[in-house]
Amino acid sequence: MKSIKSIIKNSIMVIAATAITASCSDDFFDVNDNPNEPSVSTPSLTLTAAQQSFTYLNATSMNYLGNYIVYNWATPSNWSANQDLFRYQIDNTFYANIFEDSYGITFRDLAYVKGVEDASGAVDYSAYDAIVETIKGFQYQHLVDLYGDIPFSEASQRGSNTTPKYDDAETIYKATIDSLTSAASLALDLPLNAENPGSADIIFGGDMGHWAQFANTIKLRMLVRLSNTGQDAYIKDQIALIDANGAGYITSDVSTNPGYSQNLYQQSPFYGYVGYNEAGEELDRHDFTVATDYLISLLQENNDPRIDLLFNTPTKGGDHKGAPQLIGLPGTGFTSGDLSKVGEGLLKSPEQDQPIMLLAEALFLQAEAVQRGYIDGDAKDLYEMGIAASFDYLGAEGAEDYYAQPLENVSWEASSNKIEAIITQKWLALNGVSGIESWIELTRTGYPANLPIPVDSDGKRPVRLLYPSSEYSTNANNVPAQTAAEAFTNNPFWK
Amino acid sequence: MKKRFNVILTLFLVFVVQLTFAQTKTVTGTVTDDGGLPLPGVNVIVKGTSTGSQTDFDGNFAIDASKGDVLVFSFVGLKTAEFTVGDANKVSVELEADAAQLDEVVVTALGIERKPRELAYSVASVDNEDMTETRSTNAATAMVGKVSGLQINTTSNGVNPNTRVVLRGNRSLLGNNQALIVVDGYPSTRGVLDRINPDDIASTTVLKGANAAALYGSEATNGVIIITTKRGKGKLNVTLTSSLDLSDISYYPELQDEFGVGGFPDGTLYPLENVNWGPRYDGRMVPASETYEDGRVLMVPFSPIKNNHKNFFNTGSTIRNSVAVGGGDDNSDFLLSIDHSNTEGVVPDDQYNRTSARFKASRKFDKFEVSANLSFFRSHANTVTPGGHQDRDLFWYLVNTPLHIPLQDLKNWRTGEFARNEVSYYRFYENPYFIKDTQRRKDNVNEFTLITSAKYDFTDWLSARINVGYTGYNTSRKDEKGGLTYAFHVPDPYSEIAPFGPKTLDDNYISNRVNSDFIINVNKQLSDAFHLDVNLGQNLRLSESKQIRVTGNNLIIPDFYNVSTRTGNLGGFENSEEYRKMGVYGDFTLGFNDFLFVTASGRNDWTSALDKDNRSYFYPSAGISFVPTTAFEGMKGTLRYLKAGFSASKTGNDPLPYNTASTFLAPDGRSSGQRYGLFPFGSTAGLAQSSGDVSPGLKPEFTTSLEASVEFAFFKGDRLRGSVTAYKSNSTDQLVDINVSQTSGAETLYTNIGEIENRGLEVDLNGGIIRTNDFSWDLGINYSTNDSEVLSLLDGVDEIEVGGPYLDNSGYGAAIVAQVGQPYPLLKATDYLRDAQGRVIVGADGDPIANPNLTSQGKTTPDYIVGMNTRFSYKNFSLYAVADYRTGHVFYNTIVDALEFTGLTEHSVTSGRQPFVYPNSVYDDGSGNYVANTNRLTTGGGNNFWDAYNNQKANYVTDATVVKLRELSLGYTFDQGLIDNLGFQDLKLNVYGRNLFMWRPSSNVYSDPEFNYSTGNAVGFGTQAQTPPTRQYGISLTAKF
Repeated sequence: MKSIKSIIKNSIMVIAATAITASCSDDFFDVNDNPNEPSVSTPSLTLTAAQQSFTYLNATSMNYLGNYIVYNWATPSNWSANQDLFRYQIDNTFYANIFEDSYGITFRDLAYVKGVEDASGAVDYSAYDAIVETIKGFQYQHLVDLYGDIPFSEASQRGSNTTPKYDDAETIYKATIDSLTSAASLALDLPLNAENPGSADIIFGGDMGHWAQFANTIKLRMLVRLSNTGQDAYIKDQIALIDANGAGYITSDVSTNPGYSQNLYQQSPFYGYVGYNEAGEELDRHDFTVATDYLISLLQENNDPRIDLLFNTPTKGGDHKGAPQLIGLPGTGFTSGDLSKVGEGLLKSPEQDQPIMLLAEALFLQAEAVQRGYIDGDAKDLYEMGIAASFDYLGAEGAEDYYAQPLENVSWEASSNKIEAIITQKWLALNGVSGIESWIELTRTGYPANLPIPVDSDGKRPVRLLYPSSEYSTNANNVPAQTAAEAFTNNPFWK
Repeated sequence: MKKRFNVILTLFLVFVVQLTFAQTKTVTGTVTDDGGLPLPGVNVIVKGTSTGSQTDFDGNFAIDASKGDVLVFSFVGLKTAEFTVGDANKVSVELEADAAQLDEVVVTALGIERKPRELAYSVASVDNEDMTETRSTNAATAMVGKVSGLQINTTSNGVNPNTRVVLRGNRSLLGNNQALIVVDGYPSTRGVLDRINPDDIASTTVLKGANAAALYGSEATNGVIIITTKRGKGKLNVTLTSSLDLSDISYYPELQDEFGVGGFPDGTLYPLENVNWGPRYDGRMVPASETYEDGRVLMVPFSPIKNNHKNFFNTGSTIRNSVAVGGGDDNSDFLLSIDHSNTEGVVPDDQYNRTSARFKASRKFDKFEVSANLSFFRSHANTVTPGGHQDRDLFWYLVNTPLHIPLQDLKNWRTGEFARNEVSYYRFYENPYFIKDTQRRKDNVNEFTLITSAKYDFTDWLSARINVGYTGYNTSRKDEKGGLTYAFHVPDPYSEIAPFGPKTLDDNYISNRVNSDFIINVNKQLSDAFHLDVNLGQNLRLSESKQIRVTGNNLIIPDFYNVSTRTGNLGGFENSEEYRKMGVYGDFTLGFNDFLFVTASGRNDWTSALDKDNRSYFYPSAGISFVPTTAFEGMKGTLRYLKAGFSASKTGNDPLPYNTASTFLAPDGRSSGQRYGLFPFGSTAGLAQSSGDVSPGLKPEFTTSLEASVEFAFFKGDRLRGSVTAYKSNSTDQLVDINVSQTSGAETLYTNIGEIENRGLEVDLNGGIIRTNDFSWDLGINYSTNDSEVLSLLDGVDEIEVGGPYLDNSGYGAAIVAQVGQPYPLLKATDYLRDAQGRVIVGADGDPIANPNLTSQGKTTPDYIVGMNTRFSYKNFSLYAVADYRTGHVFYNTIVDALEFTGLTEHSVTSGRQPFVYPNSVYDDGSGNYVANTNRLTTGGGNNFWDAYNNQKANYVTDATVVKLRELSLGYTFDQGLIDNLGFQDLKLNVYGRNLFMWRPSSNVYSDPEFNYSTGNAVGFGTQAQTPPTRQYGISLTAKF
């Protein structure tokens, strides 16, 4: 018994001693480094992620929404989908991801890339900065066009400023135009030790000359957008700066491709959103996105060969057929099998490059700029090259025969209103690629004219989106109050 | 009868139990109370041995003893009596009321036993009989309605239900609010309450507030449920229990049966549609399949089949067997129990079986005591899982089967003439039998727990104890989801679901936890008046876990589920976690003359989850309790016991690991915020910044709570006992991922914010209302209210989202939020515009106008809960019932969205699908005044109108008030005389039912308002994932010998 007593006494002392010593070591608690997610990155890795998220948002939600508002697409009777698009049910949850993802994903990562600096000064990241400013310019333009006043100067500071103030729309526009000017110059005049992103740049592969051209083209688009504001002098001054850097405008489609493949979540964005899945099967969205009757008749009247590339003929047979944008379509004759769905000119392959800006768009922008006297050139030539570039992208033939036809808004000579012709052809060229741009241009110019409005709506086409409800609940002191009606009545500042 | 036992146990402990045998005789007698009434259940043991017996229903006992032996008679609540055996063989014993009534000890924090009078806070308990009466295998569900302030929700039923256990309201906005579960002094995970074998539980103590639980540290902020497992007792005994339960769907959502399939436009018959906007059922023959090339087609009458959906479900069953062997005396005891149950679900083919085994033993030497408790749990579940081409729940597929389609004839989707997938009615959504047969999920759980404890008494007032516990837990899951292929296609099908390939998922999770407590105890009577009890301790907690998942899609071999046969990339992830915490604590109780007690405690924690500068935090508590009935002579009369207590405490809580820095991640293509792609694309890698940012200088969160309580007992024998408790708790510096403006580049910020206050009142009353020779009636009622309010969040932040099943999809329309100045949690949903009196505003076209903002609908936790449990005994029979009532809350069950989409809601036919005047509506008369609408009809009464109605989720938020008859049991205990001949000590037969009835307000035609899409804080959202509510009824037999 005595030995047991001392064993126990000794054990207690050992345990007590261990307990006390365990408390003394600080390293003991140093096990809080996250083994699942790294806390560091590099500008190249995060630039790639930002370019992909930027591309995806534009190619999917923004493109899809725009195509519906400019009456390109409808939904068949056997699907319950897109009713909010036909009712024009614009509220602060409607496509809120356009606002939220631009800031919350793309600008976030771009801000990280911009903020990286090499403390030793050995490596310079100016090339990345030029790319970041260009992409920001592209996306901020669309956000101002769609939302008006938005956060800009105080945005993207993460935890340091969780309630950024809203800046004036026109001020943002002008500041963005300036940053595009400097981005283009920087891209052409990089320091010697500037790191080139190389293959991490999934848009131009590190070719900075192309970035300068892209920055110039976005800037031109912004300037042409100001056409109704009576600031022609300002526009011409800014054009002079574009001409000064000598890079010119884009000469081919701007598109993204990190290595898309036929794998889940890795397909080319538009293809994987409106086309087919990783097993090659038709997606639900491909089944419920069909042509409008208005567009089909217009394409047929104009003998436009692009019709067979923009749309497939109905699976049940027969010629191209479209439907009006209507929730109560009849159950017979208007099912998905009876109508034309999105075609192979737009859905080429899961590996296809994802266009961000088509050459056709750039050419039409230049045509309009010439027509309005902002730049020098041959408007007719640019117009016809724009049509040809569109045919080229879709894989159609016979562009020259097409625009030779003496039809309004087809042939340059036969068109009484040149701006109308340019914008109408641009609408056709951007079909399925840059729907959001077509909608914004429709708001600016009113062209194409006579576009139908869905019967289920209140009869007015929307001119903007509303701030998302997440802003009202997290940034209530800064976000301006809006009524539902403003989506239809509150025009963008440049209108 | 001479008996000799030699029992040898081979373990880390070896001991021998021996009975002394001398000239024994059988002593018989009767035990009564001081009123002369016989006392059943009195323990009679021969002192110094393990020979024992109990009195039967008439108070009679029989025991083998020799002359000179001392018989010890003990019974809860009465003074223990001793009697020395003389020459007489028959004795009569009277047990007196114990002056120190209600001084049986309760087990409090860390297994420290205390008398209730010493405690400054209130403690509730549930005994073993109440837990096991209706044979539920889930201990959490067996506690419902028995303790005030305890809200247990069964969030989903099915073969293995999920439960949520919350005491006194939600304190934490986004953190854990569930009670801490402690088993034999070892803090365990929340799931242990669902897994532990209820038969192993001797008693359960509920420490409702942080005050009671300061000694456990952070996790005890939410209160503690302390489970003490049974010890072997008396001579070697074996208990066998067998039970058989059956279960049925009790309530199916109400569906309209007037209009059948079709639409486009409304009223047109399209026989193969899945939505019901077609013509009225009129009995004509319509096709119910595609047409074969040779013209064969299935024709059925166009009229609804009664219970068409409900008949998809089976009667489920649970068969359960358990055996427990144990024995013990004053110095040692052991217990071995094994329990096995097998459940077949109401969903056909759902199956669940589980086995628990426990071995515990303890041995007391002169000054040293040691014990060990090993338990092992394993379970296997095979259930249907969401699947099909749109990955939907089984309920969706049922709802997309119209009422005239003979579902029972469509089981053979492989080869049935009109049931096979190529031609069946199912053109848009898969056949529910196909889903049930091909989309399966298998889950295996293994848990091994070892709890050991050793205590050494240095002197009679100084002792030291060490408790060490370890749990190894692992789960493994496999999903086998079959694909859809067609052998042929009929010419000109109405529509066809695109074929898809099979997929598989494997997930393994392993975790290890160690918890040790080393406590030194001083328990000394300082003087006649003063008594001191001090505990000083040190606690160490280590835990680590790892999870690995792999997935593969488009498998190439049918019915072969291994990721090696996939097409495309291998999906999945790997996650690990490590956490360490240490605490030192002290607990001090000074008693004065056994009627006044002052307590104080303090604890300091060091945690690995916070940065070095903020790692250590301290929190104290203090309290006082006073027993006037002992203090003032002559106060005792009809009032036999009165105690008043008041306590204040503060507890600190640390964050989960890895939350002190923001990180980067490779987008995975499917999580919210990462849907734009799966990196790497081939050799192109990318890292996006995490959407969550972290505030620098994170601190622990603290909850301060105050509690005042009064406990009382009236009448001889303490026939009426009760307590009233009021509490207020404030939780500040909550560690919360608040949503911030996404324009900042962060979606959430993890920071300390806010304050939430909970106030409530709890009343418990227990009474032995009738006590006669043959008949007794006991009734317990508990009432609890809880008011919660969000006092503040962050400057400029008025509201944060807490959750919802579709929160990723910002267009959804309903969410659970925390809003400043409002109760928490709050349900907000889209709604129509309403005037000041709450009437819906319609426009010129007669249609209601949508409100662009989400509006508040009410809180989703009850204002008050009333529970009742009662027991009637008449001779050998006893009837036991438990019911509870909850009210003051709302809920939204998203199954109604499926019903609205398919046109099956009852409200969609109230106007015969014709335009109607929207009830209780008004319109603007042009001058800004609202006049009652009596003439403007809506634009329609069909698909288009109800589709728009569906966008306003407030239309579906209903009152969650419910009264449930939770448990009902009729038991028969066989007479001692009868069973003695069979060799049994005890034999009991029970017939019982659980969840037999539920009374809901007429607006709730959908489901059980307790169901929730998760066990998290976003309470108030039922979804299509839960099986319709079920009721269970069964029979069990318990034999002890």
